[in-house]
Amino acid sequence: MIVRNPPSLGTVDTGLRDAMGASVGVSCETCHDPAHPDALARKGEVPQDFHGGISVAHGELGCASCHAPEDRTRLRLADGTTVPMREVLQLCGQCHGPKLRDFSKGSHGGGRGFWDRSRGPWVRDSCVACHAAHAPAYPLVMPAPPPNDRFLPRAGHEELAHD
Amino acid sequence: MTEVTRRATVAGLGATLGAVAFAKAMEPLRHFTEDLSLDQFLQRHYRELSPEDLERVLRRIEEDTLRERGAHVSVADDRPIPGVQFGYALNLSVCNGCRKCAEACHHENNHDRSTNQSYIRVFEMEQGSLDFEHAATHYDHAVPAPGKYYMPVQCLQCDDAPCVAVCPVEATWKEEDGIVVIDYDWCIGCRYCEAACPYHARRFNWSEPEIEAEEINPDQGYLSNRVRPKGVVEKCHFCLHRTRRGRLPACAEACPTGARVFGNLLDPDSPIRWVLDNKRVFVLKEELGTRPRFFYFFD
Repeated sequence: MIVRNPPSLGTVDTGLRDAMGASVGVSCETCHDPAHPDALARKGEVPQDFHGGISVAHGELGCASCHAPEDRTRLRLADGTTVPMREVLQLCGQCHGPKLRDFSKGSHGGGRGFWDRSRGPWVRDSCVACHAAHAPAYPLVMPAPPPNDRFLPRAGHEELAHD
Repeated sequence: MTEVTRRATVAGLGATLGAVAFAKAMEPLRHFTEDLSLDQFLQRHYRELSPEDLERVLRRIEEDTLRERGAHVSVADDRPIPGVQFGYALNLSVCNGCRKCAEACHHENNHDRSTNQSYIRVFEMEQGSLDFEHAATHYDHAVPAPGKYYMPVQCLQCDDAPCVAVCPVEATWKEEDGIVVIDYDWCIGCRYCEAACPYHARRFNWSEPEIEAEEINPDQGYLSNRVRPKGVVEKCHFCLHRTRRGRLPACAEACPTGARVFGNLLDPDSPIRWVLDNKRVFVLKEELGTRPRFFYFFD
């Protein structure tokens, strides 16, 4: 089983746009000096004049719940040890134990490739491929178009009554 | 002068009628066109084909597809893997009704583009209800909608399949790995199976499927996703041209919520077995005794 973990924390989206309209991202060390760690906001209070691309809706969690204050490029576990940014399964699994168990047994989270592991890999996504880390609830989506059954109204029209 | 007896007259009349009837019966042979070759007319049932004949049939289908549709395809005959019994489970707690599975099926299995057909029908159900009569299949709004849950239904590959029992020509049967298949070249299009299926899992080709040549999935199987002719029944085959080569079905790969769990029921370490052992699974219309291979669960 291959789990596609995020390689590392790239940049933080500032919510700003450059002259070409592309979003501006900066690395953590640009502002946060690893040698002089400052306190992180406690309860999802994201500085609005920066980190503008982040909206936090993750229970009572604050930045320091997951980000290590002394090294913004690493994650911090509940016991204080830090792990690389790619170890999201370990981090998320601290609180979401049953989900981590289901994931490891193959009944949570999708995947592509082979059911027969002797013939090829089963490539799976990590937690943050589907759930935004800062607002993990799965968003509403528009479904793929419905079938055009011969006896039913076309897509987007009233449902035929089954009375 | 020979006497014309009553016996001779009757015999002569009978012989004439017999000859006419024979000529009439053989008439299709005079009408062979590009659409129906003599080989195709005389083709035997899939399970009676010798390896050489089967090879010839597969190559003929490839040539026909190239000539009639302008698409280069390869048609294979993937057989069941010994020691493999396929099973499928679907987590209704995470399915959000996005229809990505149906869309993937549509493309993987070379469905008719105009009807946007698929082997998967996604029902929008009232929470707390299993009433399909009041479920919607043509919803077109952001999902999941409040108060609803979503139930994709495809062929459940029943172990006691009513569709197989009713087929008058044995054009559909259950294979050793549990997949119920159809010999599209043997099917007479009577649609008894479609009526017998309690899950509405079978589809009938009312017209010649229309697909652009460049959109045809060239990776095809005789019993699975080759472009079906007009007038025959078709259904989900667990993507056997993929799964019998160890791959996941197209719908399982397409599911963005990870609701679909597919695998070998005989492998005690497989995800499907873990689901069956640890989740409270159920099957549709269990009381009918069809014994589906497709399980649903909430968690």
